[in-house]
Amino acid sequence: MALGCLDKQLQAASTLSEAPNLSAETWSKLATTIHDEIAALDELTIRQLRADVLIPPERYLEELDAFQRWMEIAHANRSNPVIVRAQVMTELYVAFVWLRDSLMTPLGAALPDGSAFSAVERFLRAGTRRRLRNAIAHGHWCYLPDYSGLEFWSELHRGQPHERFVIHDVELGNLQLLSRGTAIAALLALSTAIDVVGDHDV
Amino acid sequence: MTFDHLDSQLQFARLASETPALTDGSWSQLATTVHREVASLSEASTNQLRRSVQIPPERYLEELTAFQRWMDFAHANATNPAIVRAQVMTELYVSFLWLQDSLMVPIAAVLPAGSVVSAITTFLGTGACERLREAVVHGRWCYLPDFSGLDCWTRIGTDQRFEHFEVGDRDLNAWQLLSRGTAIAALLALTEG
Repeated sequence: MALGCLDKQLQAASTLSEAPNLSAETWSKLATTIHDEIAALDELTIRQLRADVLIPPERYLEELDAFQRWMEIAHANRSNPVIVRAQVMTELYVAFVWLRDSLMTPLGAALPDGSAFSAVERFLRAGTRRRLRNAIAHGHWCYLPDYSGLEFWSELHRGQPHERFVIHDVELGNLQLLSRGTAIAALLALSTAIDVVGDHDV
Repeated sequence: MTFDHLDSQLQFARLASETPALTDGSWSQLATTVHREVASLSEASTNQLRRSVQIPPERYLEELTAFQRWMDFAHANATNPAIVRAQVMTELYVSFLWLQDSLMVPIAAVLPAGSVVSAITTFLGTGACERLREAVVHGRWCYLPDFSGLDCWTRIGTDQRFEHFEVGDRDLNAWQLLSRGTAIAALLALTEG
């Protein structure tokens, strides 16, 4: 299955200051590649994965579909700071918390190390992304004074003092895009409700 | 300083199936009591607390004020499922993740073990609330089929087994109210003067 619209959107993530180590060809059709990797799993593995994920993939897709409609409402109200703050909170939660442990981690464990999905999944749970995730999960973040991004605090090692980090909007947007886009491609493959495909935006 | 409106709202938290062990007197003036406990900290403790919280309390209040206006927007658009889902997500995030480790845990740590803040923070970090918090922080929740609450899963021990449990709307609303109401009262005490 080709996911042309999602492939095109995901190319923006290749410009991240740190990006998953993927070939130019994979970057050019990342969503399609991830979808095909999961769709190629044998039936037994797919069934096991659906059990490991706990929440049916269709429910994730339903929530991501509603999330997309919420993003459209938020974009249409972008001059309202109250809506923008709620948008930022939901984007952070979905991309870095909600999708990670419950969905991305079990999928990463089921796919070979050399797969595009595994490369993206490993990338999203390492380095700065891991620190950002922990800051979001523990509420250690706030806006930069000029609202150009976030400042966040994270322990480099458990029990050590928190260190301050900064991430700017473009980088944050691309990381969120990578997380949600990868998840959508994977969920579409896992889901039996193939008729929900359409042209998914992230 | 008294918080009659917030005190009155917080009494709804008593309707939850599990509640913190507080006296009737504390329940009837919960926000006022929390505010008084935090306001009575010595200057040295308050300064230490502001440092350990990392994010200035004024920034939390700014975000919570915006959050309240977002709730008003969401309530006014309660027939739009996309907005209601975003509302639920932000309520879960703010109440069980954002406010707890970074704000309420450090505040409780500088107050006596017998304080109301300590009792509420301990309650929100243990038992049913802890299981719910774990489900939220690991994304292991979805709506009940009739949308009357949440289906949640939490890990059992250190292996790959999970326990399923449900949280109904009444408990969810009561615990969220308790979390946010307590935080607001504490933040107002920290930002005065």
